[in-house]
Amino acid sequence: MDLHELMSTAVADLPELPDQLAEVDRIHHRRTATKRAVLISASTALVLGVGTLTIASPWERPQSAGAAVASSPLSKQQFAENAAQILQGIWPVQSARVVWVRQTSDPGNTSQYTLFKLEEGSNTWQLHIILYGSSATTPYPLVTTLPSDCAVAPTDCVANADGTIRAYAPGSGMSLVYVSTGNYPLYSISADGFPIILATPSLVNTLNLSSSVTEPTPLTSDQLKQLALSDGMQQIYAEGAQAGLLAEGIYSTATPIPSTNP
Amino acid sequence: MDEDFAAFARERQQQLYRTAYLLCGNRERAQDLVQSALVGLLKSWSRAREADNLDAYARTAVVRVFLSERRKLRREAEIQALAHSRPTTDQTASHDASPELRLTILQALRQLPPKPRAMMILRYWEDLTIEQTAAALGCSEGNVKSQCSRSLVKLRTLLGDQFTELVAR
Repeated sequence: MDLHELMSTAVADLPELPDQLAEVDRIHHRRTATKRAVLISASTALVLGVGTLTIASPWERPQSAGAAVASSPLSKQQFAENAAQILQGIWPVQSARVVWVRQTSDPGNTSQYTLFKLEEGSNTWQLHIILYGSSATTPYPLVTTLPSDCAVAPTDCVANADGTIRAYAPGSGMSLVYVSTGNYPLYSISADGFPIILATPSLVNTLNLSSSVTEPTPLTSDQLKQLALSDGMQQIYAEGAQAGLLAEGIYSTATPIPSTNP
Repeated sequence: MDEDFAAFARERQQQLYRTAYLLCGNRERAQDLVQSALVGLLKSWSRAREADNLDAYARTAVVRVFLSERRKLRREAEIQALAHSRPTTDQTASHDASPELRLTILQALRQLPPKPRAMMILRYWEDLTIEQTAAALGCSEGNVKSQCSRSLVKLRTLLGDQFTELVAR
């Protein structure tokens, strides 16, 4: 008896699995029906990252005309508290709880204001929001996409040396978020290890629009809409920019992201 | 629901269930794993259907859900308790497909850490090659070879001398 036969023995009297299609369909519709926390992002937009990703440097800059930033200043703490509430409201899983991870021991660490904890039942994930503005140093910016409910990754999520980031979708396995820089049509976005699409025309348009010569400038409302960010995520972006939390880039333990530009 | 997905899911869910059961040793959890994998597959169906090997895609989804599933500890504790409630003297199981043998095999598999266990199941239950196993788990072929080798030795120890042919493969 070889190992295959042994394993066959172990499942020999396993009763037949009830048809899962109805339940699968129900779960799928429930997830897609809830308000989507769409998290398509670029270095011109907003990235939800996790784990080993850190903001390289906080970027504070006077707003430009048309930027999606309100006029009155907002404290970083207020931003964090608001963002936690917004995330709580738009998260696809209604029973989830989103809280800001307050770090009183290091008040000067600005990245703490973009760090949240998400609890779904017994599961806990770390949620790190990274806000990008357009930048002369990243005229062809980081492109990444996180599907609506694939935006949360456990803290052991890492950025790979090739610039990919592995993220885990709660309850539905692992998705691969592919990060690419370069001229169109070299932008590519992958998920689950399968190349799927080139950048959409609207995204390419946004990327072209954002190839500005000035250093990080908050994106306009129109640009955020082009990136298909939900209303809640647009509000988080606007308030983050207002609070001076735009970052010029992110670095992982593996490699700087984004890589050099053409 | 896409008809192609429905047809694929109906055709493959039993096999995925058996694989999931070998991975976790618990029927309810195996059902959860299959369900989660199918939900993920449905979500990405438009591109998944283009995969060269859709079976491998679905199988990999099950394994990855298993490896990333965070609630396993509580259920593992339950299955461990069940396993330990069985007579412990029958570690060298007989060759007939008795409940004791089934439990012994499952118990032995559960002695392996999750990833090596997944490797063993992909290699010896799904009959994947080393290369395919490495691709499914996102690790190197060398890692698959070494982990499987160690796991085989451990299984031999756990299952007894009647299964020495395991390591001869």
